[in-house]
Amino acid sequence: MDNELSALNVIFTEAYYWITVVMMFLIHVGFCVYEVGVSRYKNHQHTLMKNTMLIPIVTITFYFFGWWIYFAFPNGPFINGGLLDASFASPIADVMAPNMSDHIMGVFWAAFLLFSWTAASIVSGATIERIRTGAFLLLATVIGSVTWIIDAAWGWHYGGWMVMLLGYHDAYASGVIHGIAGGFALAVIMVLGPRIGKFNADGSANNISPRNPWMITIGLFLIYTGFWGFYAACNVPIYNAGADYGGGADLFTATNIYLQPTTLSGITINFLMSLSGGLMVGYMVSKGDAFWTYSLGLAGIIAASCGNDVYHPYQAMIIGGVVAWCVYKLHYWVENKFKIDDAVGAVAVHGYAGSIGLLISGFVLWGMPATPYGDAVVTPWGQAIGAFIMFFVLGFAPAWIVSKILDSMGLLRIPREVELAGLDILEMEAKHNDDAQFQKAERSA
Amino acid sequence: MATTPYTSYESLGDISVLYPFPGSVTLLCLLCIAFWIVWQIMQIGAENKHYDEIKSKGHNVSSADKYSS
Repeated sequence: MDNELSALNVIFTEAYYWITVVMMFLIHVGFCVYEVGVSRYKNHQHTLMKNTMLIPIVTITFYFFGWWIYFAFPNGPFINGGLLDASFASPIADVMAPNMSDHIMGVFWAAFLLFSWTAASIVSGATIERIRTGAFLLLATVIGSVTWIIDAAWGWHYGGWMVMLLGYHDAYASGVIHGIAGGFALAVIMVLGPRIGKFNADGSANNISPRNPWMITIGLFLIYTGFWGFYAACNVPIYNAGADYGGGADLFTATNIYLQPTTLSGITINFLMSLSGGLMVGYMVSKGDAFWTYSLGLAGIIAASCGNDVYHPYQAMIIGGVVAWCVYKLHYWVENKFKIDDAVGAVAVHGYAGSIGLLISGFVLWGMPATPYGDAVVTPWGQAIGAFIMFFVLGFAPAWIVSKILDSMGLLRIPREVELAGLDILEMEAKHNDDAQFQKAERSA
Repeated sequence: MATTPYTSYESLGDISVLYPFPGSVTLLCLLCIAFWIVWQIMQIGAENKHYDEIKSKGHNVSSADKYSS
């Protein structure tokens, strides 16, 4: 940075990602508020702490090995080439710390880390009130610091093999975050089983109503807010695409993660239009239910996210609305058919919405260049295979294996007596006794 | 003596890493990984103890109602 212009470029990029990280923190705040709102009073503290403690665990493991995976695995390895040298992103690299020769690595790492938290937090909601915290934290490490970042290397990197060979396009992570997290959550809750009392002996389902629907709405508003930061974080704010691949003359633009041109302005419209499509259909299909209206607004964004870098706002709105309807219907069909207890609808809102959105994008974006650095184009089959890889190969399968291992060791589900009494019962008992003692002292004073 | 790899800012362009003890990063990394693994094991142990205590006290589905009043 030996002149003001290059310094301004670097410091702007550094500040840009820093702001997105702070905004994305609100996603996690929102998830915590939301989960507490959904859980019953006797489980509030453990629900909150389970989701909170994924922050340090995923952070340190993403520093230890997650970040290195992103740069080492774009070729598979051994699908489109070997393991890449990613020593600059290793946990002992000079630039992974305060360093005068680099201003970007830390904030770029943090932006990806916040995506990791989100992936793990999506799983958290589905498993509330019956998973052991220790088991959840191990599973959070698997998705947050291993499997999601492998899928990012494969399908969310300008040189990823899915991009180069399949023409996979997923600009704002319909499959890369939401598809994988939904598939992961589905496997965990299938092994975990439903909460006691969720299903009757005849197989019919009971609705376990959220304890505090207003906390849920605040939580989801916070998630929406953080999602703005997520969208911005998925872009490269300023890039000389013209000189790199666009004819040779300087032409600076914002790009998506694949270094394809887009505009922050355009994705802002699409974010709002897909949210609107989801909210409007969600309101109608759920008959004005707050939980589902807000959730399906989120599903609308998630469904359109893979193509929101280039969609017309009308396309984003229609896709958001159509997928929101599908997601709502699918959630209850799966619940009744397979007796799956997804406490917050995470599999539907994230997994089904992201996957269906990818399938639709294959048709809408058919023939669009998938990368500036190869011949691959977006196709329905490329997006379908990509959706399958995200949901099943890197989402469902690893979660099923790890959950089965934990379950066989008796480390997955809390004991039946504890589930019935409540995870917080000791804390509630202690508080009750403290209050009684204080009131006694107060009266005798 | 200095723990940092620089002792003045006179040649700012020559400074890269800013942290102290730059040669110890590998050792620190291994220590932090060990801390993570030990923490995870201890957490599982503490969690088991917590559940055993709930079971030993004979709490049941009515307990939450009793203590939340």
